[in-house]
Amino acid sequence: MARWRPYVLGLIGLAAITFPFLWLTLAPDFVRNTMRVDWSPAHGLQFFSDLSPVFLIAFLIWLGSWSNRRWHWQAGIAGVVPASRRDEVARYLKFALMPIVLSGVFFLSASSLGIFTDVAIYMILALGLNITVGMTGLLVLGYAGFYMFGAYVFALGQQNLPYFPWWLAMPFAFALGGGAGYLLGLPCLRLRGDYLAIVTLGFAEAFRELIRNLPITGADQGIILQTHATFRPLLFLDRSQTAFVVTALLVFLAVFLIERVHRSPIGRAWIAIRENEIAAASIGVPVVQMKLLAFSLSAAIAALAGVICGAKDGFVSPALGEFPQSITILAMVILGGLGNSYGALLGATLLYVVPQYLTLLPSIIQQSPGLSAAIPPFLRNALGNLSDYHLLLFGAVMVIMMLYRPQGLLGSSRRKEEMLHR
Amino acid sequence: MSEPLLETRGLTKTFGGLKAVQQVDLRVDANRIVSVIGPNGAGKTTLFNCLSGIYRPDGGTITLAGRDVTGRQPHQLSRLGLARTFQNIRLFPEMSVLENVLVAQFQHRSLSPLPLLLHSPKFRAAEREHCNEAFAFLDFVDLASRANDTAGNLAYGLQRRLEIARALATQPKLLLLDEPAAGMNPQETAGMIALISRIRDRGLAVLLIEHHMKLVMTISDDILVLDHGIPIAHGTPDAIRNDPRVIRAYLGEEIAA
Repeated sequence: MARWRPYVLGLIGLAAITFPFLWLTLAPDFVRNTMRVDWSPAHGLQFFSDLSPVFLIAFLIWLGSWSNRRWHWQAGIAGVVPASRRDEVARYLKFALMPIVLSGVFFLSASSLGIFTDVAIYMILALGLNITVGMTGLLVLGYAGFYMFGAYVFALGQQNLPYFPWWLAMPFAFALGGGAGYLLGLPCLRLRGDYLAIVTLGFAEAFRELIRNLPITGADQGIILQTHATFRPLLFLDRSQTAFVVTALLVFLAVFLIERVHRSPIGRAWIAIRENEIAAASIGVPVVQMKLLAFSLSAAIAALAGVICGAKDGFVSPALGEFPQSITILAMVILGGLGNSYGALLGATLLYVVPQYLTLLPSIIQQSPGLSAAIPPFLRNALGNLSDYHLLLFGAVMVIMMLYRPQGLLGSSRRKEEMLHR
Repeated sequence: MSEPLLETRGLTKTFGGLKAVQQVDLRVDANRIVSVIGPNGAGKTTLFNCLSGIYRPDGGTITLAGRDVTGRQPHQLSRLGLARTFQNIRLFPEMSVLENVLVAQFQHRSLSPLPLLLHSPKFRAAEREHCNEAFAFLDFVDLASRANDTAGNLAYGLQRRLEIARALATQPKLLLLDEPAAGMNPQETAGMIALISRIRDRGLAVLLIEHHMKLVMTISDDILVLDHGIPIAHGTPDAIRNDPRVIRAYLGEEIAA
């Protein structure tokens, strides 16, 4: 990962150097031959708002490569060997990230906030799926089924109970989602092989069809949630700001807890199962129980994300559990780097933000006279339609990844050897 | 005589029509080294797989420390004090050497959720303590200096040693070693003989599969000879060395006659 470092450091350095100038607006007056210098904070903040996804991606790459370096000497064994000064700095910077991200509420535009809330929901989903696919090595193809399950637990709950706001629905959906995962995993995790992939795929589709055809679940139209149950203005925050803050805090909580489980006997047992199931069993790891734990935990996390989605959008529909959704989440985990939580975050950011920007590309070109002049018309059309081809682009990216970096962007190189010589 | 640590009676395992292991009676007492030898395909590894719970035997019983454990799962057997290594090494190649040993302490770790989720001081203390213990096991097999390396990058002989350290970390009473000296040069084999004796000195019983006759004859207290899954001889190294049935199984009819 060392070769990423110059880019990340360069980006941060560039931001630091240009930082003061962002606030300045130079207004030349050609009649009087003078230059007026304006000082406008909004101008600088706009710059940060525009580039916020880039900062986020850079931070995630940095965190992920740091976590890969630390992997040998797990933080869980902290104290046996003193951490290097750089590791200490990274550890504290990681905590400084939280206020920086939360302060985004004040300078990000409403539409950026919406995008980032969606990114955060996908981050939670990718973190959850990473537990089964990345750490324990079980393939799950119907993960969005649990996402939809959580959303409908919330929707039906607020329909039938007098008072069922999102914060009450979250623990409920978490527990029920975990239970559903447990019941589904019980029969198929006892078998060897990729039964889980097929069973989850089948159940997710069957569950979606069920919801589409039951009268109480509102068929294809879905359910519109009552306003008291969804995110509402909180203190000085408006509705979308509340959604952002709550979701971002949950991402932090999820990373915090999952990384701690990862660096504990349970996480080690998961990795042992991934690397050699028979050996893991022979040294006393209860393989079936540990797989069930991993699977139900990730199902519970998906259900939690479902509640957030419902509370943010104000409605739920069967579209949440569609198969492409499951594949997108899986692609996020694989692109980011299997088994690395920060990789899952990076994958979620890239696979959500890039299509958004591709959609925005035509209007960006149109609004900037310089750009539209510089780009020849035929290319302008092609770029304008680029978002139509984003699935094609992802296909190409996935093939290239599998060829040259099968371990994912932030996977370790050891993982690559394992993938190639399987 | 006191109660045996491991005892099998009439142990049988068939694969379709092939009788891989037939009517094996085996007894391992505490603090003894027992070897299982026999030509290739004699059913030695199948016997091990039955004993360690990977295969379910088709007939007979297995008793471990006075408890009937026939058909138990591998992790349950591990909890009852049985550990094993594998003929084709099964390490966790992507983990570090130290982590390979740390995983093996799973059954001795508290998994209460709150300390684990919060990494409470108590949890950290336990983690440190087990880490030191893991270092002691690595030290025992002379691997402490490689603790930080990736297990998959170790040399072959060292991987075998690491597998033994990992098995010891489950704190077993009985250790099954499946061809620990396979592919080793004479110097490494001598080291392995010393290591197995030291394991016995720790108070463990060792059940050994090995083709290396010098190793087997030097350290075994008892030898069981299998041929085509059938036990053909059983006794001390000296008795086995001169047993005509064993010579026949290994070298053929004419020479034995």
